Amino acid sequence: MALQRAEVEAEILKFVASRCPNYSGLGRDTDLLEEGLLDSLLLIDVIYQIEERYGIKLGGEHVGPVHFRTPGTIVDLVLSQAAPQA
Amino acid sequence: MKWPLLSPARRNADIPLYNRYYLHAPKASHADPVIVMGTEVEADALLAFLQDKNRAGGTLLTTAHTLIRATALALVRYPEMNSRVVGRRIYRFGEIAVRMGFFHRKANEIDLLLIASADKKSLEKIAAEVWQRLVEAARGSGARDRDLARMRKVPAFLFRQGLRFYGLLDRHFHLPAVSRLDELRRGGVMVNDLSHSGAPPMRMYKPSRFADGSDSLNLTLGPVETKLVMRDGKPVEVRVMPLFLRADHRLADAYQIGRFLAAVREGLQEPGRLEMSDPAAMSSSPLPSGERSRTK
Repeated sequence: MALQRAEVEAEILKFVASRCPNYSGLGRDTDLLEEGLLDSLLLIDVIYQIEERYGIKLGGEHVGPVHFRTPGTIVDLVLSQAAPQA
Repeated sequence: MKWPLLSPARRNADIPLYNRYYLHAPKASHADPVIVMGTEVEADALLAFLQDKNRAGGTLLTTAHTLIRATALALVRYPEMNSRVVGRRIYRFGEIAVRMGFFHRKANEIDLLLIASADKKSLEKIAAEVWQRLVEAARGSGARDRDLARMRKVPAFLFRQGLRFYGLLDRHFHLPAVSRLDELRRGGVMVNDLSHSGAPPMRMYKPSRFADGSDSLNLTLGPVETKLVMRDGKPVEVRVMPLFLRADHRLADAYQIGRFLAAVREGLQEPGRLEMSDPAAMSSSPLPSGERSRTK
């Protein structure tokens, strides 16, 4: 079954917010890098969550700012990687 | 001795007297050769550098990667710090390899990774290797992860006796490398990046030593804090990060430890230095003639 963007977005936002409890106002376009929210712990947690929840395999080549800058770009990554396997 | 150490060992006559006191102290004396030194890194330039790099895309760079690179370049400048004690002798390592602690997501515990020849690798290359290992660990899919899983299953009694027996052999014989876990012994320097969100402001951090004594130096970078400092007679806000070094007094004196820490600090404060393509040019103390790799 194809993943729905709205559903993935809600789940990613909820997950990232749970890991950044002291940051209010997290949104789809929040720049995780500029806000200093994205460290290695969060990033690996997000990758782990994506792999477990959506059955996607991510490699070291995916660990770039282009994919993890905002919750929105993380959603884009999930959908782009899920599409060939759907 | 399976570590990539250079032979011969440092001549006893060349070791300063106070280092020798610690090196030859009987175990019953409980002499403590640990020196801990802390400083602050002005982090504005480093954070701006990382922000610029990450805006440009490519591999995601963090302070951990810059710490590995800055440490490697400081070791190029001060190669005598890239040593370890075996028995009561001091040997230099044949290459600059840096270990880093990281959170093993799958096992929910701390594990180590090693970046070999870190002085010869770009920041991007170092970052790519670190991320690859972290992703692998999150899945628990690497060969090392399987080795660690086997070790966890060993009952406590056998684990303790095994460690004692292995330690005894390790100190006295040239053992073959028996597993992938031995690979981490290629470097005597370990770094920790504890600057992650949620970490408290740090004033002191003394990491423990490994049971095998293989980590001669341990550098820890703490979280960013904002401080007021005076610049040109005016108070200015700057971001700082604490940097701690735990070192072995058997290998070096406080002045050597201090200048090594200063070199790492310089690298972090002036991150443009970390991009230099020829780190060997920074070397001010080449290897002494006559030393060769013992493992080759």
